[in-house]
Amino acid sequence: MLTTRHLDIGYGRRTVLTDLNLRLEPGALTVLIGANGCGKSTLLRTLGGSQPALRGDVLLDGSPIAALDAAERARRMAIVLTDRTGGGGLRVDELVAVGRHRFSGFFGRLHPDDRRAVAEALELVGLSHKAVAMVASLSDGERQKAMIARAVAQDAPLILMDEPTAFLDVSARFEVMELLGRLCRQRDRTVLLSTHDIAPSLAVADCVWAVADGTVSAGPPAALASAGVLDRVYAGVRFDASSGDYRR
Amino acid sequence: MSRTAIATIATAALAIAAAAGILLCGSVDIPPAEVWAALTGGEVSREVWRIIVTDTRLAAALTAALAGCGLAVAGLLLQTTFSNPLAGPSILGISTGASLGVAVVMLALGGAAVSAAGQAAVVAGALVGAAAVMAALLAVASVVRSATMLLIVGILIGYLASSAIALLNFFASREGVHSFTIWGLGSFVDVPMSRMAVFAALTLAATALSMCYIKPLNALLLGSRYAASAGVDVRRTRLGLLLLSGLLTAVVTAWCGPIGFVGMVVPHVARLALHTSNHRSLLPFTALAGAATGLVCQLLSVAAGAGGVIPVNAITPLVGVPVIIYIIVRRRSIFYFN
Repeated sequence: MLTTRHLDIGYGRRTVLTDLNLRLEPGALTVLIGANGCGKSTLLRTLGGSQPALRGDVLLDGSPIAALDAAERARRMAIVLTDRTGGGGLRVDELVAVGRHRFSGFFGRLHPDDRRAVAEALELVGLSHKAVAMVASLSDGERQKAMIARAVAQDAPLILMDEPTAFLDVSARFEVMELLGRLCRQRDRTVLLSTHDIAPSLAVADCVWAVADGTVSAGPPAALASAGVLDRVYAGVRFDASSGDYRR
Repeated sequence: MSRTAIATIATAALAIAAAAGILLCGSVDIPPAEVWAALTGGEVSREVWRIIVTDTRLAAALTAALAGCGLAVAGLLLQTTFSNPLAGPSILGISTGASLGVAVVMLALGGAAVSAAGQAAVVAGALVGAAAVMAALLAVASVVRSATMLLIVGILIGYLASSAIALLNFFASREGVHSFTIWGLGSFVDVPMSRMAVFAALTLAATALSMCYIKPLNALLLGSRYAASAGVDVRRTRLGLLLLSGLLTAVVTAWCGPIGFVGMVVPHVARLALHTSNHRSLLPFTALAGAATGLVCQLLSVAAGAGGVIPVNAITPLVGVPVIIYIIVRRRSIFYFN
């Protein structure tokens, strides 16, 4: 699984967070929270290997991620980003099938296993009825679910997600978070996601990575709450354990 | 019957009809039966008719189909590689780069560019010019992440190459300027049958190679970061796609001159006709539709020319510009932009 060793992250000369020694619990849903600009996205990009670490290592199953090629990374890790995708001209099942890239034939022909994986992933996110619809016809929430289905179909044990509930309406936020909880518990996936949706995400999270005071504190939500770590994440608000959300 | 099958049959029929038109029309009236006899190696009443049909008209039809196919495929590869619907060989400056290479060779050789060695030098010049522009684009692309900005850089590089061409013309001999100006008008009638095999082999080989990229092209539709996460080696794939589109552009430009709009427009028509961006059907269909477009443009330039041949570059904007404007105006309702 994913671990970091004396990891410094940032851009060029600007170091954002230093000496991170983190470890993702296998099969757990971990939520990364922090104020804007604290380095959440930088951390996710560094863990995903799309941005180099300033110092130290990101280890995937013991190997430094920088040493893994695209195919090796794809086998171990799938990602879901906030990028607006250009896949509008594909059918939903074709988009999900991109996740089968490392299994399908030379021209992208799907084997029976691939078809089954695509159908199961669509079933899991509740989009089976849209399988042959154009991606362009989906709502924002459905599109995000389709991108999650694509990550699921990739069959990698670890999934990293950057703000998977941004741009979604309130009911879709809860739906997607519950779906991610199911993904961990029923499909045995490890999920790390960054979010500002505290209540829906803490309701399903097994573990929280809270960026506060220039470092990342990890632990179960209740433990971080009682230790007062969650109170120091955002300025001007306090964590209220009874509602599971922040208050003035 | 599926949408793809209907579109394929209709486009193939259009291509065949246009090819037949090219074989039958021209400044000399040749009866259809004689055209058929000339093509099939039968008895032709006048020997000059045989030469006109096989050496001029058939050569023009083959050139138009191959050039249209090559440019359209190059355009599709560039549009997906740069995630930019307005990308194409001409707008990114690749055609102009090829032109600059051709200008250097033609103006240096003067009138001698028509010889076989001269032709080889012209093609080599086009390849070097296109490759230089693409190397510049690649270098800029590693710094400039925005697709729109990269497009603007492409346009600017095109201007630089144009200015170099103008300077070269200023200092060149009269014969050199003349042959370069004629070449710059664009034409499908200048590839002789004797060089057709080389032209066809290069265009068809690059088109066939592009089919090997169908799977990564589909992943690239989601953007480079998603493609990489699915296991695509994005850097190597982009390099391969740029080399193929550059080769196609250079080969076509060397022999036919800089042909505008075909590369940018045909992929859009293909997406709208098939109602998909999936390269598995889109790429082969774009190749076919490009060939049909080349043939139709050639037929128009002969049929409307009243005995002469109108330069192809006077025809392609008439077909291309309305399509581009339609696409820009209807952008919000066109499925593949959403």
